[in-house]
Amino acid sequence: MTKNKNIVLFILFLSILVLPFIAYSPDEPLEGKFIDEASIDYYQINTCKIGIFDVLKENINNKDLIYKFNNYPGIDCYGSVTGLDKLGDKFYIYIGSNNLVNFIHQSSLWILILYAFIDKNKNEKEFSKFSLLIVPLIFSSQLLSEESFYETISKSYSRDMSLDNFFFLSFILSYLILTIMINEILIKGTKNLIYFLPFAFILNGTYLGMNINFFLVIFSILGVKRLLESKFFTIPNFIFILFSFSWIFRRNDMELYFDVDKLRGFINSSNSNNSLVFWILVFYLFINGAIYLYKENIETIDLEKLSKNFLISGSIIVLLGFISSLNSILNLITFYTLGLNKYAMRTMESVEGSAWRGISPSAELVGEFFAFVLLFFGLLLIKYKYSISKIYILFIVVNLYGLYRSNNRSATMLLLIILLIFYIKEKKYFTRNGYLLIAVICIITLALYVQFISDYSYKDSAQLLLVESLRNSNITIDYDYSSGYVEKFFLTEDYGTLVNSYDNSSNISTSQRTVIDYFISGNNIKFLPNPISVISIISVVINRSEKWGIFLAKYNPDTPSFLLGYGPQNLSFYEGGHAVSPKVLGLVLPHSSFLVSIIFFGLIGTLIILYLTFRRNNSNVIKNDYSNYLLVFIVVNFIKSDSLLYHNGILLFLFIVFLYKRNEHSYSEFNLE
Amino acid sequence: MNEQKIIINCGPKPENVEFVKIQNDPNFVFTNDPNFNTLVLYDQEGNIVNVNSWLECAQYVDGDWSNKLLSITNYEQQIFGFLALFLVGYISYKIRLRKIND
Repeated sequence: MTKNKNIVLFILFLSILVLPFIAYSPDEPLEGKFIDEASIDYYQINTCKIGIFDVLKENINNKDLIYKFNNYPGIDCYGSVTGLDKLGDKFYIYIGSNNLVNFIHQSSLWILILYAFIDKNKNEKEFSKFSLLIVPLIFSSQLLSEESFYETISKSYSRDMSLDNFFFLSFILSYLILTIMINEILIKGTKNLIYFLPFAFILNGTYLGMNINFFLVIFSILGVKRLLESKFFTIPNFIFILFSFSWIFRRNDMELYFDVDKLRGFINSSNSNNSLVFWILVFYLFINGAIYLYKENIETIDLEKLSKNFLISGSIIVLLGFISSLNSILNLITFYTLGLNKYAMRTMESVEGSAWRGISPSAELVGEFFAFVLLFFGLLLIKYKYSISKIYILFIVVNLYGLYRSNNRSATMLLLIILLIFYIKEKKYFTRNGYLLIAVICIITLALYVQFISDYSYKDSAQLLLVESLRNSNITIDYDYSSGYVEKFFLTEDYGTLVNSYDNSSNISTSQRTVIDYFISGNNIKFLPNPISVISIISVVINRSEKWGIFLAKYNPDTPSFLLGYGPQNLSFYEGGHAVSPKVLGLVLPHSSFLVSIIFFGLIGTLIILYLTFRRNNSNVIKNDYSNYLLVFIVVNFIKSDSLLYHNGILLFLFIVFLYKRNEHSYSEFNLE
Repeated sequence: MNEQKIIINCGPKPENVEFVKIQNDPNFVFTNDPNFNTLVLYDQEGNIVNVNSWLECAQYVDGDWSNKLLSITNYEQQIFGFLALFLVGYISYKIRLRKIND
């Protein structure tokens, strides 16, 4: 019965997938032609007249063709060719799409997937009708608040508040229907949503042509439910409200547009007050929704089932990455159906940084995910010794392959070290002194690595962070040509003169100024290295000196912004508020979730988050619990990864935090926040 | 040539480009400018063309193409109607189901 039902759901899924492309076929369709030099004119003249299926029929074996979506033309061009260009030896063919149709279409597909996954006929829990009203209104308001994003992406976009604006009105109705449908599914119980968590790394859920994500809507509905059911006047809520006022009233009026790139769907594209309020609300509801989900279900989840789902998910990610690289049309299909932020890689070869990211927007994120999957499974296996079938051994191998291809060396090292320590502790091989000895050996190995194996000497490593930050600043630097093309300040280590030459002083960021002042102040503690030098050496070891250097060059807060941040998902002032060197091209993220947290929530906010993360009662804490190791793994990874910029990264982090707090069995409201 | 119209549609003229009116030469090939973001232009019949350089864009705009087009058919209105019908139908179905269960 269940098998038949799944087949029906699968057929329904495929039908829905192709439906709009058939329904919106051109009025007077022209036949497709094989795409080469000779047919470029034909396609360029006859835009919106050749349907995607006609092109596919003629070009199924055309290896030089790359399919892309073009969201700008109106619905008139939906599913048909809107342009063809030749760049290098490849032909880029643009298929018309549309925000509104995409939203309805992708929502239908994902609702179906969610429906197939969530258990039916479980305890029905009535959801408040209030969420049916508030959630669609909040999400529709984004169309008005992020004008600069939507007007460049869709021809149909209009901000007119009139009854003729069917674009906007249709979106309100679409959000309302989506909220009702999600309600209908979640009403049956939310427990299976936790088992769905691993698959949130496959089904990314970002709507094509929009800056919104399917999971934001789901978790916002749960967030509203939590707020209505629990006490509102709690300390964390009070703190968040205070911070919100601070973000809104301190907002800089600069007109800035943030190019969302691979963060699309979970980042503020504008610097307007309305968009800031929108993202404050949505972030707050999203976090509350996640808290609701984990709080309700964390005590009763089947960890074995969940860890196996993680293994399956990791394997599917590798498989889909492989499939997407085979053919451009398959690449287009995965991009659309999974709601990816970025097209999957078109090759199995590693490119940037020798890393392969498959369907993920970031090799770093997916590498961290593979390592987490293996760690979670490994820890539970050591702890509970459950038997595993051959198929799961295959899944482990596939995940190991994914980790290897992502080239995330730090996550791999961390995985091995944590598994080893956990195993040794479980078997009680060592005494306390034994661990101390291991720690000393690790520190000495690190020091030897920096001195002898690294490309930089200890002395150079200790200042490379500052050097990179100055190289990427909008300042004038004198070069020493006699030693090759080397910066003078680097040779003389005279940062003070550099900063005070020309008009450099006014062109460096406040964070650079503070760090340099501290570095040259000589306020060192005897026999201890300068803290800036230590951070610089760490950045060299984990290959982050350039990225963190660029962060210092860009990050230019005043004191209140440094302490309280710019607000959740708000990178626009960080990215565009201070001029850096013209050679810094495109979006360069901070490459550290701690730095991201400082931009969003400031130093105080970050310290509060850390406190709430690690805080738990000492009573009932299980010694050597696997969840401690998971938390250490994720937090250490945050030092060098941007995972907190992705919704699935946050969901995974919160899951681990709740798993960590689970052992105390005596939750207090404050703890759980 | 309407310079203002070209600037509105194509952006400011790059320093190294001169506007030269290209007559109906079927063999003329525009060179792609990698620094120019591809633009979509429309004629009055709703035809579409992608332009890959400022000069190409200027030629089309000079020939009465534009980056704005009002849809002849208001598809958004149709979709709105479809969504409204779906919603009313769904709510009616739920009310009926509740009555039966009661």
